[in-house]
Amino acid sequence: MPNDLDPRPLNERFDLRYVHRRTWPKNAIFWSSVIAMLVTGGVLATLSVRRDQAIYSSGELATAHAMFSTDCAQCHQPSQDGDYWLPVRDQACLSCHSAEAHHPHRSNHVTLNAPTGDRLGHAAMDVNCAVCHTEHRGLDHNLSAVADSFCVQCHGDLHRWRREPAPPYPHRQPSVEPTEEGPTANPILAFNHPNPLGSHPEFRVVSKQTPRIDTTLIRFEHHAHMDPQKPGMQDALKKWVAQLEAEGMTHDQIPVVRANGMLNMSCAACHVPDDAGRYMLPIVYEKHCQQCHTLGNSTYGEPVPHGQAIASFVDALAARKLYEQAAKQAEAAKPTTPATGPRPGPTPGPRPGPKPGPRPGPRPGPRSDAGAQPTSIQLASSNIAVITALAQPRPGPRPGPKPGPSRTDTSNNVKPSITPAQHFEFERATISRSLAEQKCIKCHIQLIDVPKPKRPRAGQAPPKLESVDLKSTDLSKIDWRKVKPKAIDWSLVDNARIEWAKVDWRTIHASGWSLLDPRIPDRWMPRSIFDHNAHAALQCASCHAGAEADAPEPESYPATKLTWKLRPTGRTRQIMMPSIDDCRKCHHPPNRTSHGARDGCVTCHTYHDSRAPGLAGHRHTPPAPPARSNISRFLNE
Amino acid sequence: MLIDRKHTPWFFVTLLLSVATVALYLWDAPNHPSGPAGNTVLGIVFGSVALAIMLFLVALGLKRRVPHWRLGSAASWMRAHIWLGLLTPLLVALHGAFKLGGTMTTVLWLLLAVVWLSGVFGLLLQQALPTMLRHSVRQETVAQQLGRELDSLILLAEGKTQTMGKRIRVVTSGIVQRCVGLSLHETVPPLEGDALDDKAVAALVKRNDPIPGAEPIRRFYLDEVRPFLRGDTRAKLNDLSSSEAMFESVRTSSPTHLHKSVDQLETLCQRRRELLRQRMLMRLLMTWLFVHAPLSWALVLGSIVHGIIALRY
Repeated sequence: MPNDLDPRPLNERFDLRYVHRRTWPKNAIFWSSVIAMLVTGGVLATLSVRRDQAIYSSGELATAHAMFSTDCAQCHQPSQDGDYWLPVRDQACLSCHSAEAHHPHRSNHVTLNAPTGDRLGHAAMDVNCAVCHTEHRGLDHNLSAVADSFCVQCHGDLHRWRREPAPPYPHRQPSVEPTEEGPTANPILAFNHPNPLGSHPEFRVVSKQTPRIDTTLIRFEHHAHMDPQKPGMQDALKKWVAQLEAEGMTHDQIPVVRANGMLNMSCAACHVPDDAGRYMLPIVYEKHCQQCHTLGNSTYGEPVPHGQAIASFVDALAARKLYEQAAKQAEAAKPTTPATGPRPGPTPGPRPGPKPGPRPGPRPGPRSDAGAQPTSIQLASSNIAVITALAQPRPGPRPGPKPGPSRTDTSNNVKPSITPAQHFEFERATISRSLAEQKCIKCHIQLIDVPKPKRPRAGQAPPKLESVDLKSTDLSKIDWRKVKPKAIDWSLVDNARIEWAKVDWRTIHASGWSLLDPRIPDRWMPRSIFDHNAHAALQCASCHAGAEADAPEPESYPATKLTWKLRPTGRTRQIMMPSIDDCRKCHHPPNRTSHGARDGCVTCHTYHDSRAPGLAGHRHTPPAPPARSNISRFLNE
Repeated sequence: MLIDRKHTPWFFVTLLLSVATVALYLWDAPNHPSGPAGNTVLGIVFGSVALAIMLFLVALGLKRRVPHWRLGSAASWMRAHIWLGLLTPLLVALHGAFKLGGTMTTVLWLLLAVVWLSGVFGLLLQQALPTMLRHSVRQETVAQQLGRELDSLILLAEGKTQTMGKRIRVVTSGIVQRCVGLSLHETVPPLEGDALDDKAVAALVKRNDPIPGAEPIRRFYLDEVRPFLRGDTRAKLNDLSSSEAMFESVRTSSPTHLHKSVDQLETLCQRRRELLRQRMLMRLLMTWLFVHAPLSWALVLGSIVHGIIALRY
């Protein structure tokens, strides 16, 4: 400014203390900052006083836990020391949930699987429930729908984690030929991965890379049962349908297919889902087979039972035969016996005395009650000891003058007789073989030619059967002929991954004829879960192809000597489980043509090992899922 | 503060830190099946670093209150404030895995967004307004002197008086007394309190003789210039074009030897317009701080509480 305009001296023209003076904007900013902090602090303090902690929640709880949304302490509990920090501990989850144990390969929980935990270290992960089941992800978040990334963490590179064979799984494996052990070592990055090498491999049970056949110990061919033109099929089906109609089933409920004036079995005739509709119930002879495949009667006219009852039935037949032999011998010895005096010689079986026949009274026998012949079962139920007592040689010197070789009396330096137990075992083996050849072998598979039982020789001790601890014994050194069949825990056999056929062979050999478990697996893919009800809209054959009468002969499978004997035809070798490609028709990520069904790992697999003790120390019994409505049920309702 | 070459190191440091943190995030993400989150080790590290940076950023306001402390130059602090402030949202985003989270974190995100955007807005203003100020205000003064400068304009026009009780003493004479012959009696501003004693004024103030031909200037001053210099926002002289036309009209109607006084009055008016423009621009330059500073403190306080609560649960 020109001086002539402003004649004031400089010290008057400027405020020399302006530095110390705060202008109003700065003051306003300062006080607004103070107010902002006070407001923020006030709001937070008010919420703290009101114990309203919802503002700190990182997100809405899932619907299942929505009732805890205002009560953080339900899950965020202090430790036993009562410290300040409140992370979600497993105990909070286990107070309501009975969680199963963790996968033994991934668990580093010290109380569950310490060796595995030490082996993998903490590189795998910690095992807190909240690690996988993450909360605060919204109302619609499915806590059990664990992301694939959790599985891929190990299965994306199993070679890295598998440093020892797979751990034992105490459940029954499908009856398939032994192959490589443990889960697949292929890297699995997703069920449908852009890179085929990272996708889920073909199901092992139907994989063509490791072909295997149905080695269930039962003679069965779907094709034969689905052929309406098979001789006798129509008569049998008509009879069955008539029976079902008599039982009150409606026309639509009877599981047969009517086409071209002929009846044919439908899949539902044998395969019935469980109450939840998830899995098919086991095939039971009495329900599904007996209608057409009766076992007939024994030589005594009694119906031959099926299943475990055959053991006591055979015992009964053997006992009855022994009894009759004893009675016959006693009857034959009666006329030659003097009225007084001792018997001329020792006779095995019948008791000495004035009346060699069976005593009247409670002892069973043909002469105890001439009007009521005891049945075989009744004889068996009276115990083998009765028969043994009947045939028991009398000790002491024989008073009779009849010379001859003595079979029991060693005091006269004669050879020992055949014991009643040997007799009984021989008869039982003979009857077993006879029944097996006439009845059992029609459906049950006989792996080897069982040698014909030899009549026991005098003085030959029966083989002593032993129990073997399969877990601790070197299996290659076991003499299987001395192993009690019942001593074998099949699940342990599976776990030890023995060549099961070998075990079966030895078992049969050791016991003569034994009741063979046909080993029909409850589930062919035991490591996965499935829900038939959810797939009710599909035809059975769309997944289980090959059962129809017009199904083509499956391609040839490599058949070893063993498998050839088990399954002589390609149809019987075929395992009618779906290929993974069948699943991928629907289960795939959304694309241009289809939204696709879920294809996450947890859709078919569960992580927790429900067979092992739970984290809470008790075995978890998963509740049966509620019965889901299917289409037909929906329409009917 | 203008972004100049002195910011180059900070630019590269910020860029390097950004790339490094993102690389760390991407490297660590596959290790967490449920995805990266704030409760992972790296997430907590990111959150802690972000909180530490926030504390440093708000410390700039405290540092200005103690300028005599040897804590580095204000320019250095401002450079660090700018570039670390730009980096903070990235760290917070990596900490939260690019998710809003719950109510608290969403509010914090909102606060951070407003604070960050207001800071960027302020930074842009700092780049543009000083240049604009330099071009539109020829004689810029410091903000604290603006009020005094505006008050001095009427003083220069009408002179300076001192009141001692009810007595008035002329200290300096203004333009209108010296050149226009305007009576001090007409120009002395009314005092608060009791009205002036006319006798005292008449005794103390020398009344100038009227200058021939100055009446148009005198009337123009009383009607237009004086209200404008006294802060009438509706005065026509607030508009530059109107001002030029009005002063030109006054010059036309007044003798030539008085044009110098008219020019001086026009200079005063122009000066006032410039000072008003400077005040407007400086207020605009400070406006964003009304949002930036308070919300920054609220953000820091909320972030501290969030950190404690999150670690606890």
